[in-house]
Amino acid sequence: MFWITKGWRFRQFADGQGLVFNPFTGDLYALSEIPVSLIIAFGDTAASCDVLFRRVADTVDLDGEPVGEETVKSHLAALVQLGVVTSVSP
Amino acid sequence: MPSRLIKHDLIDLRALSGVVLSAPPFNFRVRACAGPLGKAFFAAYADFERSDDSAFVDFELKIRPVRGLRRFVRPLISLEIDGSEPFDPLPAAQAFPLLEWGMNWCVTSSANQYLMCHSAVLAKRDLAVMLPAPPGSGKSTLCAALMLSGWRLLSDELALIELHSGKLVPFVRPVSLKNASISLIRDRYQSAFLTVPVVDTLKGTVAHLRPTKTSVDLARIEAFPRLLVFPSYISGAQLDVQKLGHAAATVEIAKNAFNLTPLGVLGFESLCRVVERCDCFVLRYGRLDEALAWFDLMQNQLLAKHYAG
Amino acid sequence: MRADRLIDAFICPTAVLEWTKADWSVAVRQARSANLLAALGKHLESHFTAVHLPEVALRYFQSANNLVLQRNAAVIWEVDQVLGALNSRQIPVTFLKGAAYVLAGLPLSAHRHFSDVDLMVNREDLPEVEKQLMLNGWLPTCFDSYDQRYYRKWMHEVPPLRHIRRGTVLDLHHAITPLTAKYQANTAQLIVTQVPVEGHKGAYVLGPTDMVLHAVAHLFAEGEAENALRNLLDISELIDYYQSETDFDAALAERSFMLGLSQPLYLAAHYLVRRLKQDRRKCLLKYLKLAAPNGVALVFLDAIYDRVFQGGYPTTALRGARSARFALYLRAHWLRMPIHLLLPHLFRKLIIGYRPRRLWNK
Repeated sequence: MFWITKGWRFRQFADGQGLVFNPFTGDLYALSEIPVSLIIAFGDTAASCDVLFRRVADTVDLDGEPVGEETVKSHLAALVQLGVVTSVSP
Repeated sequence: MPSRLIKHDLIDLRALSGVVLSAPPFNFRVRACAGPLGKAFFAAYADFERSDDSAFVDFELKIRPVRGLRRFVRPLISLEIDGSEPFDPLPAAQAFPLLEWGMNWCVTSSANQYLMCHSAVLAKRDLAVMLPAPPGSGKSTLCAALMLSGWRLLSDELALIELHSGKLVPFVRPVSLKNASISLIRDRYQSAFLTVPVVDTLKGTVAHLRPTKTSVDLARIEAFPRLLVFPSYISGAQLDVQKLGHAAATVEIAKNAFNLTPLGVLGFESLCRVVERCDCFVLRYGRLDEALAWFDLMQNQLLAKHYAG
Repeated sequence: MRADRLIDAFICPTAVLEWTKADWSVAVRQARSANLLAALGKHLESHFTAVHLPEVALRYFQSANNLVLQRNAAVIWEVDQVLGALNSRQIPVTFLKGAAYVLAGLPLSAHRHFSDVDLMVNREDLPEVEKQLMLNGWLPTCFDSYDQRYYRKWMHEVPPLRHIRRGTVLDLHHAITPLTAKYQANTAQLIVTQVPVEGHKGAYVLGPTDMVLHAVAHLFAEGEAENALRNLLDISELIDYYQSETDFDAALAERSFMLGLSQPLYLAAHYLVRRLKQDRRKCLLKYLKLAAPNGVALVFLDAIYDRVFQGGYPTTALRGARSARFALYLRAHWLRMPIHLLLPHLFRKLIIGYRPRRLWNK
């Protein structure tokens, strides 16, 4: 299970592309490579935005092509590396 | 009661109370005890209004000579802003560029009621375009050319974005041009009024272009951005336009934002709101004519879309 | 005394209703140069609704407020980063000044702008703390061996540490006053009464009387004239806030004697009465009678501080303001170091140590 680390903000545009922003460091990343269907907003407090990344069996990318579990995992691993996302064991 | 600036105010510029320049949304009190400031100042700000002493003055700037024996050899001047001196002294000939940089500094260090970006902003018939770009990208030349081709200038350097509405607030000032673009603009546009170029500055040779009268007259009219273009001039290059998604465009424009991190979440959300309204492009061009034609084309397309509902 | 709009607004808020646009203009610019924009805004807004305040001033209050809000959120995050770096070693950290006001949830934190995070640890923990902070990205900003020695020996802090990515600065102290200073507060005593911060394990702030006394020591022992008025206003707000406890004045005075800070506290109360017209401090002054400086010294101090509190803004500064600031600088050093070391130090700093400012690049 993955959570967006506390303090980061998340924004999704109408074209499906997403952004994450850390207001304390100024780090800003486009999530255009992350399949949109993974991202389910889960409540939104004023100080933080905790978003649950959930593995979905029929994950598709922006062009509608199926995305493999391995691709999803490697994207999430990259986000963990950046500190955007925290990995929490289920 | 505001009144036009007129030439004999050269005396007032040296007076104790200086001249209060109205450059909406700010008033600057400008005082020059030294340097060839007067001619350039009145040339560049000829169509602007001045306010009297009862106005709210946002910033006070004073150009004064640096004391000591230097003043007889190669006189230096210093810019005092609200009592402190944020810059090192410069040769007296650079008084006007120093004043202009000083005015920018005042705004970027204090106006956190706006999200501020390093970007040109122009508009034609209510559709505003933002041109965020770092120095050296040819932005100023393009901005000058657009203005002289009928677009109204909202800003050449500093985009002011109202935080909650995402509206662009004009901050009309002379367009600063460097090196080759000075002669390019002067040769191409007969109506262009440029200050006498100042050589040997840190940025090379610098001159300032008087904003068009229309731009100054409409300086209090805000606009919503509809087009976001990242320009880049490459000599001899073919015109190349790439559409950019909103997320990628936000990341790019953020690189040119002055106060995104200090404003935190408020800044981030304003920036997203601005980008969301826009069609975003990366524009590479080698010929000014082609770039200008493209802007007109885009503007017509957007207008058509706008009226189609 | 020359009219000072800024102080007038704090002493008697209704005065602003008579202000012209020009008056507002001076007050806003003065407040900006004194780091008091947000404070002025909050102070006036607590007395009037926005409709009485001109829009031109309101937008600057809004600007300052935007920064304070973000700064406060950011400092909590930074504190958590620091605690994360130090918690594995179980070293308790006491946060001071601006960061402490935010952590303690004091109303003062809603308008106080600050840049560095001040923290204090026990002297014996210092090497380990420096090491852990460095491993986590906070690196020393000055490598000059003279400056390093100066900070460590004569000051009560390590030279500022700047985070390599974020650029945030930590001021790491091991005491609240310099080791050799005329006014010395025993760190161990401060730590005994410190208060843990809820929700941030390992973080502490000073107890109420000590919060005030630290602000007092900072104002009257440091040579920094720029934030003098802001610091005086902080002291006023802190005392008023804690006044809800019974007889805070007595407790404060008693504690000041215990910590050897009674004379600075006397000066604070004295200037709250003299400059901010706060007659309610006279009770505190009575408790501190024994700590008052002698008559001649007080005359000199009044001359210096009258000018320092009025600030250096050109149109409102009093004559002799610059000399007053210099006198303060000298006094602070005199309080800090023995005379035989003070003179060479000042020589180095003032004559040799001059470096031209860097030109700002657009």
